[in-house]
Amino acid sequence: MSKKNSVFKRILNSAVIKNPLLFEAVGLCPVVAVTLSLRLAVFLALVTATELIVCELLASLLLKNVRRYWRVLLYVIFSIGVIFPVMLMTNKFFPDMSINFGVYLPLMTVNSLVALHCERVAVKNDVKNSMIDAVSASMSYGAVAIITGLFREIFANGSIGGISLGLNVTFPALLTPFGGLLIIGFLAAAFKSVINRKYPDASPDRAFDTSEVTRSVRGKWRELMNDELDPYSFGTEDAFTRIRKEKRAERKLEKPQEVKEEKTEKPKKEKVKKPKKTKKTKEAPKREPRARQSDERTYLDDFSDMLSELEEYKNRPEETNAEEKDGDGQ
Amino acid sequence: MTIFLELISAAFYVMLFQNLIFNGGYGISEAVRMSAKPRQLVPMAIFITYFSTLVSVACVLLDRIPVINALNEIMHAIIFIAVVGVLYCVTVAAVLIYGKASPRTVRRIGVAAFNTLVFAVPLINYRSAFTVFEAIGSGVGAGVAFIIAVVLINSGLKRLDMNKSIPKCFKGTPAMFIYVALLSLAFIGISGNSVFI
Repeated sequence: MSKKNSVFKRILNSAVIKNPLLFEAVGLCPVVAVTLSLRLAVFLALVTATELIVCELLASLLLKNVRRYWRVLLYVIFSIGVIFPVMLMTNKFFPDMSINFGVYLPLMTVNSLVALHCERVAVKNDVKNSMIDAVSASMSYGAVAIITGLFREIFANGSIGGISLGLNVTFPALLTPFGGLLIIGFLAAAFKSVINRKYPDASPDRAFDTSEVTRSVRGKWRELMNDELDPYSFGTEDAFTRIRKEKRAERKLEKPQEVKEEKTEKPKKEKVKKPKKTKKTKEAPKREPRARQSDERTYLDDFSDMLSELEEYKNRPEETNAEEKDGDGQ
Repeated sequence: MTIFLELISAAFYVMLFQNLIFNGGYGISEAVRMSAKPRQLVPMAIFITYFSTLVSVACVLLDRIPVINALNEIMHAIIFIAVVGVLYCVTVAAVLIYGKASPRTVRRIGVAAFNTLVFAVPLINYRSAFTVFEAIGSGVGAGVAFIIAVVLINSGLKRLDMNKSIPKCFKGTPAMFIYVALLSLAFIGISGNSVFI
């Protein structure tokens, strides 16, 4: 049961909570540009699923010990191995489909969905787990593509699967990337509300980390070059804790700033007073001369004592002085 | 003068009048993901412009060889992807050997080389029968179009992030998608296509 539950959780996570299209914004290009009808969307979903499953299988079998920068190239080569026969087949048997796809079919060889899932899952897991991920991700990707194609065909062409619905008003703007993005946006909102209701612990926002958004675009060259870039990673717990910490820190910083601003708005006399205080504080080290003065006083006292002794000596009677001289002579 | 005009017109065509990202959807995933990491913009834009320009020029020059020119579009696509692959290998090797680059830089090169924007440029050049100078213009224009897209999306994301009146289910990627859709509509307006007929 636990195994089944873990597999179900993995599928749920890969297909719904981290939906590659809706919450990770990966592989958008073909969906936005090509899913103009249900037929095209189904074809796109099938091609993407085949490509993803084959690439993940090969990556999990062959590429675990290959360096990352060569793996990226090899994913493209695997994709060509899948897409090239598809291109030949569609050109021969479905020429209308080939015309509709245009440049987007060869462009699927550099689909970011494949690179992301191969890099994130296939290279780090065994074949079984990578297959589970490939199937669930491609199913969810395909489902969203098909729904998008369906809506676009209904509202832009007034038909489903080529069968006219007899609608008097159509909305051809949906055939542009604008339409694709708009439908994906509303689908993402619908999915998110369902996820929030059914799985309140799961947060689909983690898939798209926007913690850096509020920061400036500009930065120092060194900072830019040393900044961490992991395009195949996804938002983790740490990222969110970091965001919370940053927000808390910002709040803390904002409060004292407000107080300071209020203080600064008051008359500048206080500012004048401050340097006086600092002067007083600077007087503290002048205590050393005081000590010197005390030393000097003691020295003067000693000197005056010596002088007084000398005067006493001079004032002594001459006899006592002569006796002392005799004693010295003996 | 004609050379300069060819270059500039191709660059403006790709940047504004038929913005590759908003009008064609090329490289939109990379632009959206990059807009969430704006600190990466400068190095990534440099790498993308570098790849798009060099690939664009190399493919147009290769297409002048009669044997290659006689091939069909599918074979052309394979040759173009091979050019991207070779350029990627050369760049990575050069960066690792001479530049002693960090793994981060090498990772950036991978993302910049293999995306739909860079690969779309030679395909569009081939379909539009661009000259060498037009190819240079389209290559540079693709890089600038990427920068424009990232900056626009990023500024929108900032405002969406600060806006507290957005419903909870629209917060995050849904609102971002709708915002990018509106940007796309604006660029379609610039291109002069009528969208509501």
